Amino acid sequence: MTRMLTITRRALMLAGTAAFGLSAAPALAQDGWPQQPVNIIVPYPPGGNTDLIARTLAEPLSEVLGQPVVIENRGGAGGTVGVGEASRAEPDGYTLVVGDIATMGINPHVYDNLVYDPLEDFDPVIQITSIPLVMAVGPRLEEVADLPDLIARAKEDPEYIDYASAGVGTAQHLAFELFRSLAGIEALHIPYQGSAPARTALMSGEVGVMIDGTVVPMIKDGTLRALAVTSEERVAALPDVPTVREQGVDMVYTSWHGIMAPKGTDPEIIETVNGALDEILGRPDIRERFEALNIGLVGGSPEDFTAFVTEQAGTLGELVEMSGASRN
Amino acid sequence: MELLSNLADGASIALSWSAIFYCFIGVSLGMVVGVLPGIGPLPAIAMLLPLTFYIEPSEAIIMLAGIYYGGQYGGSTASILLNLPGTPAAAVTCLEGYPMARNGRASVALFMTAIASLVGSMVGIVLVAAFAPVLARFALEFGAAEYFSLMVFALFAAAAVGGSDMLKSLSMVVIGLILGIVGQDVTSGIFRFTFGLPAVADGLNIVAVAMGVFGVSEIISTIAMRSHSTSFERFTFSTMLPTREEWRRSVPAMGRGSAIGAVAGILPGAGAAMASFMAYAVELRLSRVPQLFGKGRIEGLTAPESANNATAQAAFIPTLTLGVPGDAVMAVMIGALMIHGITPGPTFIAENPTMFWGLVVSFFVGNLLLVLLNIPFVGIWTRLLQVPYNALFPIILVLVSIGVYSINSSVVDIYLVLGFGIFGLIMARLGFPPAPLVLAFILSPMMEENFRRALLLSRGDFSTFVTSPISAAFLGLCIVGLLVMVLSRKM
Repeated sequence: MTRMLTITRRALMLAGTAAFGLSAAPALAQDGWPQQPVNIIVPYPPGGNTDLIARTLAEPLSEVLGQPVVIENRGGAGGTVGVGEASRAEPDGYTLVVGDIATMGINPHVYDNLVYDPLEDFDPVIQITSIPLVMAVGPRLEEVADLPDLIARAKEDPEYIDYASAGVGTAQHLAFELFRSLAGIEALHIPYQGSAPARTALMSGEVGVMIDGTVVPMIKDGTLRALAVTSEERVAALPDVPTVREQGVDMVYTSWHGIMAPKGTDPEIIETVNGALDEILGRPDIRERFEALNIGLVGGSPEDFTAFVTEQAGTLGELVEMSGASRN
Repeated sequence: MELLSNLADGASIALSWSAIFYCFIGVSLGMVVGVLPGIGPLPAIAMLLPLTFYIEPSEAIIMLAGIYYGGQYGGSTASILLNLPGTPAAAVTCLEGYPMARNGRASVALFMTAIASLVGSMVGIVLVAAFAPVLARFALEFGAAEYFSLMVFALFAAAAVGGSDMLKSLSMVVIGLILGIVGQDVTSGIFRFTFGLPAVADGLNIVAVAMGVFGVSEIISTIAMRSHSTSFERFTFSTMLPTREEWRRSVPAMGRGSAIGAVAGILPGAGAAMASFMAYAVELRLSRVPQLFGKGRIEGLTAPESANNATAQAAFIPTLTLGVPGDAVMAVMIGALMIHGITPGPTFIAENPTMFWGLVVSFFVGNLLLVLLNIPFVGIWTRLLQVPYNALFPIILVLVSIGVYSINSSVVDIYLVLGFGIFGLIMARLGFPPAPLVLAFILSPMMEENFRRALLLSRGDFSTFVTSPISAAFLGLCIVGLLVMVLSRKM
């Protein structure tokens, strides 16, 4: 505990000097950084959404910065291992981390002994994505016409819905719990180890429904059917699918990713990375690549992202409490 | 005949010079990372992923796939020469391969491994080519209850793997099951037996367990007893050829192993390790001289080798046609395709015929390249055994540490491999076989997860395990096997 405190205090002092430096000599940090490769920690194993996003952006980012950008996969314990490591890294701009709704929004409310705190230990750099989730049904709920129909049937038979998720306390689990409580229905949660096996169970009819971000291709080829999207507005990839809100349940829920730096990183460096990524996220070829994956790109300033993470911390905290996912 | 024209289409992609070049890069890289104990194909594929943005999608996937199945070839080398299984599946290779090497027959073992791998791969490829869309449906028939019963059956087979003393094998099965409980419980999300260590939150590292109880315990034991009694051989081309008698026993074993491996490959998550263990157990059961197993019996080597290679090829069926990755490596493969805007799923083959058939043909090319690459190395690997062990073992221990660290970048895993080395040594001295522990450890978390999920779905009704025909069949097989064992013992 003492160690944590000293780190935080040192980080605060660094942050203070850095803020002072900002007003005194704005160009200094930019001249020096980066002089060596920049590491971006992905707190998951290779192959997932987070990894894909980081690897796709690493290439153009290294061109802009003039130094290699290295992706480091540090998976384990729902992303807490890698993010914990990033929180202990030197705040010199050479270690950044991809934060997401799980590690920076949900986990603090789910894990008791979390080794980091999203806003105490990190400076938000830029929000990268906002990913609408899709509520999809498989062959087991073939007879369901639309969302109001699903709700009506579930009200009639409390055992009607078995829903899959990527695991206890994941963004997908919380999304369905939020829907369940707002719609006032019962549903049995069947957790899987990640989106892929959950999707398979949905396709085979083992479970009836799930909310997830990875089902768009299966909806397009007709294996699964979309009942609703959880975003505020309809999504480009599925223009005919109405939002949850349109169908009478007041729910908006999106998953997200962003870059964070260890607390105390020079604001000049944060501005540099933010500027570089903001420009990259606006490029048409990058937008096109992500659009095909149903991933919306956001961008904006570090302050925008800080405000967003702060807002999310509150909302997700309430949600975790309601879902009963709190543990450990 | 449609198949032939499809294959001809595929050949036009896979037999271009650039495709062969990328295929060669893939398989040789796969082989190299496979040989190094513990360093699997995953880091190699993840590293090459950004490179694939710049080349044709078909060629990218041909290269990445090459790393995947190339690793299966390399993985057996360290098992045979040093008793070091770099992957869980390779633990089975140790059982007969390492005794063969100690009897001075390392080159025969390595040669036959390459041949068995080729046979297994070919069976797997033919299966992918001919039946991929149909077989994908089969995978969807497997729900929680079916997986659970399949694993009970596999465990039943595992107890047979250990050798003559059933009680000792069973106790190792139980220890394996208990070790498998460590980590986060999928159903409730609660951490169990992690002692606050985030490094084991997702369970003990399987490679650390397998390399510990097999290889590291062997190294400690050899150093402690100063009993490095491997007989050296003078290597010529003819020494690596097996006897006519061994060919006769190996050929049907490869066939059976390939069949088991191909079925396991279709089921996402069942994996090469389970297939290898089952193939070995089948050979043991069918043999008229089971007492000779564990002392360098060639069919106990070739059957599991064919099985794990057939699994590696057949695993492309659920990956490409369902979009369901069987393991982490396949997940990266799906990621690579998605970056190119290609989504594996039920319509993958229809929408990307040239890519799919190009990949199938490249499997043939890659496997032939692998055999051509492997056989010249047999002599070099065999000579490795002549290095004095006081020079060889420190190097190996360093490689093991690097390998096991590379998986999760976790120092705890290095301590684990050492701890399991000491544990394995004690067990070996007491005559407890390590193989059942490894299989039970692999199956334990999957078994529990599927058991509890099946009961969640049935609202606690246990009849769910017998009302499904597939599940009932596996449980029935266990009961029949048990009866046969009890009755044959009485006689």
